[in-house]
Amino acid sequence: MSEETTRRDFLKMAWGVLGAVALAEAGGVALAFSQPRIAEGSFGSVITAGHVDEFPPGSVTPFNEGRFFLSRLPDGGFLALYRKCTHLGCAVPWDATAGEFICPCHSARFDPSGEVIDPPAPRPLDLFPITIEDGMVKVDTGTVIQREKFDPSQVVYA
Amino acid sequence: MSQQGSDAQPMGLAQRIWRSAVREPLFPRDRRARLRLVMDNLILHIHPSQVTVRSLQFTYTWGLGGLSALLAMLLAVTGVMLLFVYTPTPESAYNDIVAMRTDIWFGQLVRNLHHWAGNAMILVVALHMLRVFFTGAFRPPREFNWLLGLALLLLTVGANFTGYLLPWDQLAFWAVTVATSLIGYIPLIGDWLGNLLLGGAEVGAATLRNFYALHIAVIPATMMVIMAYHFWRVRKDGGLTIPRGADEPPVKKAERTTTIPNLVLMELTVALVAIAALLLWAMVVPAPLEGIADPDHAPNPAKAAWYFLGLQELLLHFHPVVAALVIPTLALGALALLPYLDADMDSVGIWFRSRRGRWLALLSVAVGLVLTPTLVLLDEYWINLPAWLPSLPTLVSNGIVPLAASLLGLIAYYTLLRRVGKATACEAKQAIFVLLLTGFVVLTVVGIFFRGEGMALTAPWL
Amino acid sequence: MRKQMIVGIIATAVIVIALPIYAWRESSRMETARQELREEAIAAAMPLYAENCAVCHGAAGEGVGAYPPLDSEALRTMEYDTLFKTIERGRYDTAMAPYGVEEGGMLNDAQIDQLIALIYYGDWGDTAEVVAEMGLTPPRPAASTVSTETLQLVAGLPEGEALVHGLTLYAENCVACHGADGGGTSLGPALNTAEMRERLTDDDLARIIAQGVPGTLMAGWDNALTERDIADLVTTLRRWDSLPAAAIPAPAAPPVIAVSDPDVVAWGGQIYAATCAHCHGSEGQGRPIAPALNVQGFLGETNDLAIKTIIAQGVPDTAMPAWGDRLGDEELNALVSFIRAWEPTAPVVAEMERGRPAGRGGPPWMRGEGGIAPPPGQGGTAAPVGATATPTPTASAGLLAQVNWRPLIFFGISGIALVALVLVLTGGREETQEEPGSR
Repeated sequence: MSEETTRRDFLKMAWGVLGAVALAEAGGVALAFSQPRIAEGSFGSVITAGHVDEFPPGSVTPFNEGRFFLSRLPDGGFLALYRKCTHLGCAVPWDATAGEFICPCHSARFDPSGEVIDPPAPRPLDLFPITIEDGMVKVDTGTVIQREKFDPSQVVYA
Repeated sequence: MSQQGSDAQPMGLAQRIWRSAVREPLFPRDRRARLRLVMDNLILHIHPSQVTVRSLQFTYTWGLGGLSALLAMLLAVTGVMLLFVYTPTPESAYNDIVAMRTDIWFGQLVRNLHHWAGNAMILVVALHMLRVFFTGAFRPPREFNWLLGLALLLLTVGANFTGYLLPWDQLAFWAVTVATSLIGYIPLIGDWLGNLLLGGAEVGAATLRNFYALHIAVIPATMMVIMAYHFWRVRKDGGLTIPRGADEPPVKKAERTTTIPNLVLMELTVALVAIAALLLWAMVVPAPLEGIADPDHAPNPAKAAWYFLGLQELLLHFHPVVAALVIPTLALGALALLPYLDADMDSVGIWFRSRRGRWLALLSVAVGLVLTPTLVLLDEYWINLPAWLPSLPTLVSNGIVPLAASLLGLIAYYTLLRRVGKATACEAKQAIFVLLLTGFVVLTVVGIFFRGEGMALTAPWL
Repeated sequence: MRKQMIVGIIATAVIVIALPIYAWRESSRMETARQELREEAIAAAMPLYAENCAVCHGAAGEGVGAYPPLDSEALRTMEYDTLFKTIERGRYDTAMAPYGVEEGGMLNDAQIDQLIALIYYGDWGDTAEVVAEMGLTPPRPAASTVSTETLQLVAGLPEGEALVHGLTLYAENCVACHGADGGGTSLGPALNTAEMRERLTDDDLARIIAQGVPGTLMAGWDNALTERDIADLVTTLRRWDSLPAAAIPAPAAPPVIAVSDPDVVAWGGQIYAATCAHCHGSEGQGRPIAPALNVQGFLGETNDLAIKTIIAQGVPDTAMPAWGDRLGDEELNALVSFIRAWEPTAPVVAEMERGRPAGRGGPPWMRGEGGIAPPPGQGGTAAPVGATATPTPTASAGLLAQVNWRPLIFFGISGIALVALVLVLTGGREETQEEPGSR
């Protein structure tokens, strides 16, 4: 009895495994199909913010289409801060009078380098990578850089 | 029976056509005809041909299961009507909703019906789940049906959530932003899952498309399949449980009666009353609509939909990973395991399983009503674990530590009930369930009414 | 059971009765809803109007100077499409700037609709109240008055009536830029010169006053002045040499000096941020709607008084309103100090590349890679467009690089674990079930 059933059992199992793999592949196709497309339009691509000299040190310039703020620190270094609050995703506006980012949703506050001044934000504002070519500041809004804390290595200098 | 007419006259054409479609007389006169109609009718054969008399008692089930199914059907009908006048793009979505108010005959009524039926459904299915729990109707052999019901609960919440975005107003846009950001807190796959759902990094046109597809096709189709399975299991598991008093012994041979007219009439009446009530409500209370969605300006405060506000409130007290992932997972896991852990009491059909069960439930409600606001206030104004334990990462100091403390508290309560209260394991677990349920309801109420600008605790009457 | 039937009948009756009642009221409900929406739109439009439009079109839509009124039958009967596009895209060769977000302005489609509702249905008296409440009632252009003695004197001259009228008009409208007695200011040339009287004919003068001079601060006044007015002005200009000297006094203009006091500069910065930044850019680098201020060209060639005058009087033919009544003298001085403080670090050229995506955009299949020169103004980099263009995944990018590994690992491990669990739970039963007679 064992010899004959073993071969049939093996074939059954093999067929089952093959079927399971087919299902998994179909699932993979469905998932890949549903992947988000690279953003149509400005957000998600590289945005040219402007010439380095347009942004005086200590300034914070909003770019609504790119969903970020270009912050130039007093020492001249650039940070592109994603305006999405790291708590629950609200758009954080820049309050020039207070000199801080104050989130309207749950009152989280961030300083001009994106560091958390006031919870409930769990981490500093995310960054977009900056490249400076021929004095033009270019921000890649397709790549989000998360960080636990501010680090001088995150700043880009002209 | 009288399929062929009398011997004198052959059947006319009209009669032949009618008889080909309707095989049984639609208004049966005797018992056998009533039994046969149930078995031979496409819709009615969901029911058994006979039901136990005692299970017909309205105050046993409150018709909640049937109400859930009715609301689902109403949502389907109104939803299909809305399909004809709505386009899921940011350019037209909002204006289509406005047009329902100004230019489409009964547009506002259909939208209101859809909105309020959707909200009512969450309440009704939750109450249905509670009824099943408190009457022990999830005990073997009905455990798997409990799981199917849990799946339906999650799908209902999902349907509500995906539909919430479709009007594309400020309320919708930011509620969905907040809720999908919660998903981002799941470790490892959170961001990927959030992006998949959103169709990108932020709520946008792709999100509207995705949610529309989920809301009108994926979720309804899945729900229909699982609902059919759920009803089928009800029949296979023996139909409704039989109610009895706390001191009655289990019923050995329950008295039965025909489904037609007793059950059918009951269902029809409850359905009509529910429809009338919903209709009147929808005629008077409009579904909310704020200004058009503005991605550049978040409102203050930004709140998720009301059924998520308990969760959003939790977020204010625990580390996000604990509040958004660990606690919901534990809760769902516990709910799923409940029927399999129910061992030592066979008191199916008794509300709260026993007299002592009732008292303990009442006690737990009281404890919950006192404890939850106290803890909320303490955490808001005094407790500051990250400051007291600065050497630990916030995940531990504001997440694991308070979670462990809460779990220890629950274990202590359980032990107290068992030792001092002499409760059975079943009754004690029920008491814990009630305590947590009360806590969650209080948190939801706090989240809805007591959180104002900046999500600070504010009294709504001020 | 009887009870159930009665309840059921009542419920059905409620439905049967409620629906027709609701239907009967439905058309008036829809009409009320439309009206409510219009009223909500108008209410939302008034603050928008106060902030963006009142400076030129007047607190009650009556028009200011050369700018046309909005409270007019012409506009109330204008087509929606025309109105919408005018607000969104501006009007060529006039001071009407584009206000739609797509064109660099700050109004989205819903807000433009609200303003149109205001024009069609709004009460301009209410609008003026809102504008006044917000403190944004626009100033009249700087004007002076001619003394009654002079007027009496002039009336006695030949063509006296025209001269009196012309002088009065000049004092009301022209003195701000062309100066007292037609002597000219830094903003407008002298009119009271023999050279001008020789060079320009009456027709020339009439045309210049009516249509303005494109490319300069001279606006076209034919919306604010009638033909008669213009004719009288021409007469005045032609006959200025016979008018008493100093007929038109200069409008009072105190001296202004930019200070380097950091508090004043900071205050000026606050005023700038609240008032000027949304057109001129947060650092004065300019935007499509307004020129750069923070450039050597402007700061080097314009003195403090000129800056203050331009702010106070506005710039006709552009979107620059006259801020003179809205901002007090101290505030104007602080602004000048703030603007002057830019000069040490002002760039020679302010490039106005603002938030433009690198590469040219378009649907995914249109965005090419490499080989095509980048459009001018991108910094003249030699790198092909593809180097900084949208990272569209193409076949050449490689399937492997695009696969997101984390979810794959997560689902892979979960799947394997699930399969293993199933195998473990179902395996091992074969032996017990094969036992004969155990069933």
